[in-house]
Amino acid sequence: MMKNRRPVLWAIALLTALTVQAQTSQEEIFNDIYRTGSNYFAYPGPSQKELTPAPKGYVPFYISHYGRHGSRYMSHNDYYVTAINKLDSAKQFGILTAKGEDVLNKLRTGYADAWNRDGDLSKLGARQHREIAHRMYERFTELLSQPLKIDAKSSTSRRCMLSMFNFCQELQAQNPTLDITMDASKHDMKFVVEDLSIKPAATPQSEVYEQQRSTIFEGAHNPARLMTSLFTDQTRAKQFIDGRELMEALYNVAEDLQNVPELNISLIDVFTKEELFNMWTGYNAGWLLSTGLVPGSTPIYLQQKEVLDSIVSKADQVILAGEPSVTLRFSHDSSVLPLTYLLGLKEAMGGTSDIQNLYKHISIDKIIPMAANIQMVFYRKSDAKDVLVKFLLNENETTIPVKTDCAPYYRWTDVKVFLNHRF
Amino acid sequence: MMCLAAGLCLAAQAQTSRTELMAHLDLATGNYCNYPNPSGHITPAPDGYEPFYVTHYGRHGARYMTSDKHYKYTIGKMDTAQAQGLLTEYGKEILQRLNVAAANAYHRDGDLTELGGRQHRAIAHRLMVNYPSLMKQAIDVRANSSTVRRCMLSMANFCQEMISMNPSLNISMDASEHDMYYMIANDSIVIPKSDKDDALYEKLDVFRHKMLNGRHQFELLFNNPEAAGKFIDHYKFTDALWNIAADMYCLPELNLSFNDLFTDDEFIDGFRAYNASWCLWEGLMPGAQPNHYAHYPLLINFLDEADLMIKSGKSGVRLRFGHDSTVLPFAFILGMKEAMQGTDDMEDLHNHFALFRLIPMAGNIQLIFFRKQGSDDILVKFLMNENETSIPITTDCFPFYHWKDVESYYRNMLKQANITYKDKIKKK
Repeated sequence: MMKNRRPVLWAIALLTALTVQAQTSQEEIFNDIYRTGSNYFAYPGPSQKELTPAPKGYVPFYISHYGRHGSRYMSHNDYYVTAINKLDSAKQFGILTAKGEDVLNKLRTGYADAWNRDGDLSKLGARQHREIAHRMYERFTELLSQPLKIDAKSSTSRRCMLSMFNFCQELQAQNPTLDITMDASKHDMKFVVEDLSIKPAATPQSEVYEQQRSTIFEGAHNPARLMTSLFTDQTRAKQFIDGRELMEALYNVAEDLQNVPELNISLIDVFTKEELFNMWTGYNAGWLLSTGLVPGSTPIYLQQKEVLDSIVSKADQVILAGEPSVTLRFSHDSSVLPLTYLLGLKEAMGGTSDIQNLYKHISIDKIIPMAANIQMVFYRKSDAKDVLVKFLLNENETTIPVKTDCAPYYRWTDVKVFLNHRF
Repeated sequence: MMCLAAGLCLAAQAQTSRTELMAHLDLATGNYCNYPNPSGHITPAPDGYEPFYVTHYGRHGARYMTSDKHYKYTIGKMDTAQAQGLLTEYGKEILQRLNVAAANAYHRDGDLTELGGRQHRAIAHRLMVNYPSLMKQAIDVRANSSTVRRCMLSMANFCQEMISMNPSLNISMDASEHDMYYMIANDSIVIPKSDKDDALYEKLDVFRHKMLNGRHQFELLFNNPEAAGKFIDHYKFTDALWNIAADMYCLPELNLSFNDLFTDDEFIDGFRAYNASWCLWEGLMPGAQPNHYAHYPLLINFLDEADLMIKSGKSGVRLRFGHDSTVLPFAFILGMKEAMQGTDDMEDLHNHFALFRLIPMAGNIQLIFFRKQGSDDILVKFLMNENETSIPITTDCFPFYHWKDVESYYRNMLKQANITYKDKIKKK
């Protein structure tokens, strides 16, 4: 009796898992508060431990990996400078609370470490890439234990290059016979990062959306409680501190500190969970609108179309040549997000014009945390002509809106038809 | 016998003869030079001494030219000449060749070439092979690179080779503004002025114009050299062509050469021009402004980190990847013999001081440290481009030096230099 019920239970569990994953609730965010960092969220690692076995006889022969750099320092230290200057002045005036004093000390420690490291890959960022490479090797050992040629290309940004180096080094340590070529050149940028010279015309709705986003964002930045917690004399503080500006600065610092865990300092408790949640919804909406993932918003994701084309044509070349290989590309959040949408990955779909509730449908901490990545793994079978492909977002298998009888595997020919008709 | 042989070899190495350059014209590319293979001679350490620490500063490998200005100038001017019917048939062919090379270099300004990657893998490979007792251990390797991409990729290739030969190495890599104060010239340091500097630069200018006068090239390329000379600067044009010809040595896969534009003597003249320039630019010429002061932080970094490693009792490797403009003055600061013979006799300079021994592509300085169980004595040897070399300190076990002598020599040098930093706040 029990035995018979198992498949049903499995199916229910799976369905629930999928539904939960597509939706994001406030409770989910509260349970992992650093998710409110949006694109500062440190890579959580895959939740899926066991991958779905390929249909019988199919073996992986090509991986196309597209990843964001790992955890990094803030791209500039202005937030530190702003927050430290203001709190330091308040201290001079004798209006800093004990909490404020503690915050100032932590800011100083963080800033000393971040000095001249604007935008740099952090140690955690390097580890993330080594771990992703390590798992790639363990998950696809039959492919990666061969003496493969691996072509790696990175954005010309240092944090991306160092991510590539760490990734490739871990692969090489696993298999010293790999023949890995790394490059980062302006010459290849059209295959690696989005083309900012493409400027899709603004849609009529985009202005309306922007106003809605701005209302959410500004509403979330109400500094009244924060100011009371930091300063003893509000009237005096307001004479030289823009609370709204200070709140934004502290949010950025507090969220980025998760990427430098060796410092052992946290400023996240400067905010209440509700404040963090509210700010996050504003950032979330901002990312989705500025990439064009909301119906009627400006289709900025088209800037990434040439990268998608090169991923597809490279895969075709490999299929034609028949030689197993791996292609690695290292880029940015602003490149990964539009690519997930262009590919139709379910995590990036379902954008709605209800901007207030957008986070329930698409949540960017699930798409572009630090070291975010899309892996397309291609399979073939010796006596079959068709090539299967599966998609992993942040190392979890995911789906695209294409019919298949062997999910999460898709026929590459079907995927290409879908991609060709998508735009 | 051994000593005598080594001595002869070293004496020969310090001098550069025209015959040597004629036989290896690739060496005349100066700082574009493909990394020459080291002699392979490794003096065994004195009994009981084992290597435990390598500290390395290396230039990036072979690269594209750092800007496309030389292509723009030559192609632009030759295009105009063609429109005016001034190009010879040979000139037209050269213009085509230039266009091919420029197309390949498009959007690759300053990029590491494939050869550049291979050079670093080869250097790393030899390091692993030459010091097996150290390099087979599961030691920490700490690598820093200048923030320039070709240096970062050099680091990546170097480290990749190491990990493929010993997967148990624990390698960390970084490239950050945070470390640039010692990785390249530190422009906060006050450089003492020299009265002779202006005169030396005037002298260099005359010398460069003589070496790169372009008369022969104009005759080859233009059917009316005089008319061409009205809108093309002889010196600037020839300098550009020489740089392009030299950079082709970094791109062997292109199978392109512009050496036919120069007689061997003219090509060597281009080398002499740059040889003298670098010697002066970096302050290695007697009387020149001592620009090498800007690299003292690198010396401090080498000394401090070596001390820490010695005290820790551990073993490890420290790698740094930067530029020719650091390797050259740093070799001078260290007193490596290859860098010490600068003279303001520019006609004769190349006989004593030659860039290809110092800053070929991937040029590097390595200090290898040795210790002996039960002894406090630490020995160090100095390698210039992997060849054992000397510094101006007496030793009883050349090419090994006692670290305590070496350290006190350099610490004293730093004291004498009395480094001062520019005021961060500008005074009114």
